[in-house]
Amino acid sequence: MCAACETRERCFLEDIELLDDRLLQHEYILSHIECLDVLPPELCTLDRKVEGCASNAWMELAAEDGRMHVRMTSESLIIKGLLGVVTLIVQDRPCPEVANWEPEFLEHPQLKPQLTIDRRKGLHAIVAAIRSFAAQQSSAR
Amino acid sequence: MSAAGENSTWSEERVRGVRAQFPILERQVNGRPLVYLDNAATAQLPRSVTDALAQHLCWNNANIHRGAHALGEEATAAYENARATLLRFLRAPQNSLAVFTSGATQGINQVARGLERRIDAESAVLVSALEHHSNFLPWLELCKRTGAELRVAPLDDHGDICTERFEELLSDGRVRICAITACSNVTGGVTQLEPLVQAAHRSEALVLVDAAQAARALCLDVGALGCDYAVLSGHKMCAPTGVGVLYGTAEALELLEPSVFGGGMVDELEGAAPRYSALPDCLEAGTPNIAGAIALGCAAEYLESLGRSELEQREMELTSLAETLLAEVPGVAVVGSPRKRCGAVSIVHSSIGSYDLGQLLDAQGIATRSGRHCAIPAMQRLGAESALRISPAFYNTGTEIEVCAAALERAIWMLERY
Repeated sequence: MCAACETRERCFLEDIELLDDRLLQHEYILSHIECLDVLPPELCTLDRKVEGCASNAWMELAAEDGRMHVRMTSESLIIKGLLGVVTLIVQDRPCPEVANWEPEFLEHPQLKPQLTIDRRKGLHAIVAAIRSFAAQQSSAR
Repeated sequence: MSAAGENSTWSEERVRGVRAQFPILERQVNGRPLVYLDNAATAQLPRSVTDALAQHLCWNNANIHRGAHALGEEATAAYENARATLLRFLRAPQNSLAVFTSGATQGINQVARGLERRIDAESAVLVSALEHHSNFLPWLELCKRTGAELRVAPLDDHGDICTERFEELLSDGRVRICAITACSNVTGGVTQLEPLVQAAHRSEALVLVDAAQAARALCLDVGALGCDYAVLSGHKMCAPTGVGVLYGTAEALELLEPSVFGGGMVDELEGAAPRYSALPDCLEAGTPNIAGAIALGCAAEYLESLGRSELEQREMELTSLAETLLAEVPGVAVVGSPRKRCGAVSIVHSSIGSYDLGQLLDAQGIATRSGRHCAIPAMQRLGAESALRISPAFYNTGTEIEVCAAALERAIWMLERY
């Protein structure tokens, strides 16, 4: 899939908008677990832990040939699904594009109520860390 | 049919009549009828309480005790009337008092701070492993400030406070105060308070009972129990948030030095020698939550009107039904097995976290609570890192509990596929 971050995110949100039932929306989010490049348990260390997430989550960020590569996981299946959505959006995209991506999905009217304030805060922190890393990689090049 | 269904002590007509008093129960959440099972966190308000609140704020709003005008007199009368109602609600003996607080947490902190000069490095404070953090941290901090020893009475295999160990921890006579919950917010386990209070008093220790979780459903008779202090939180007994009560015998409250200072608590102030007012005013510095106190009095009247023992029976039935149905859900284990359980059942699943379960129940219109429930020592002892808590109140129905169990099964089915 070679669409840009914004396009990938828009596709996801359009799908969510088609689902008018909360349980179905959750089902759809959970289906994105398969998009994850799962960080293995032995790498779920304190330095990879995401601060501010009510359910423990870990991530490892890397850039390969100027393209973003994320490995993430969480104890929570719903969070794993959402991390899968993030992976779907940013994986293998050029770092400058990821750095400039203005995420909408966490504030989307159909997704926002799905997440507790704590969980949203944790996901905001993850997205911010990814963008910041991507910006560093972009300027390093 | 369930225990809280056709065999319930409350007829369906009565349940319908009670539910009609709670407009919030008519709400839809996420496209489904609200099933509110988070009453251990906050219970809902009946119309009589919201009407009393509105009546006060719209027609009688004024500060108490100080105004030389009709509204001030009306507000003062309503506030003091609420205080008297709460003493009756607690079956308080003569020569005891109710201090309005912002909730149980403030009440406990007030006692811990107020006793500070009577606690030293030779003293000990005794709590149990079942306590909510609000009845644990104020004592931990008191012990850190004074050098006193914090003793924690362990739980038995059921998750009840172990009476024998509790008594042993009192045996050296160093314990100055015991602070114990009347009902666990995690397991719903009801503490058998009488032997603990008697043992503490034999050792000349004071006793504070945290009745925040118990007050709505269990008829606490502080006079018969003989505790020195008890605390309540309004929002767990059908009153608004931000108001509560610190009950105490006059003798026990006299031991407390004020820890909050301000208006309304001083009779004379010359130089650096204030003469503080008599109880309860000296413990109610500043303008209190007048509207909240009046609403709390009204909530206590409402609960009385339902019949206290019938109310307890009703909540016991619903809790028992919840325990039975939830335990039948594959992969689910109920946390603790207290000898008497009321108002809360916590569960864990063998592979799915409580936050995910809670979120998928919310998606089906069911309000529960996930996490450690501000009771980390209890959760550790009970072997649960995080639990989903279902906490019914008298206005819930057996059908709602069944809907919750079915929704839980559905959530697990969804999540287990990943």
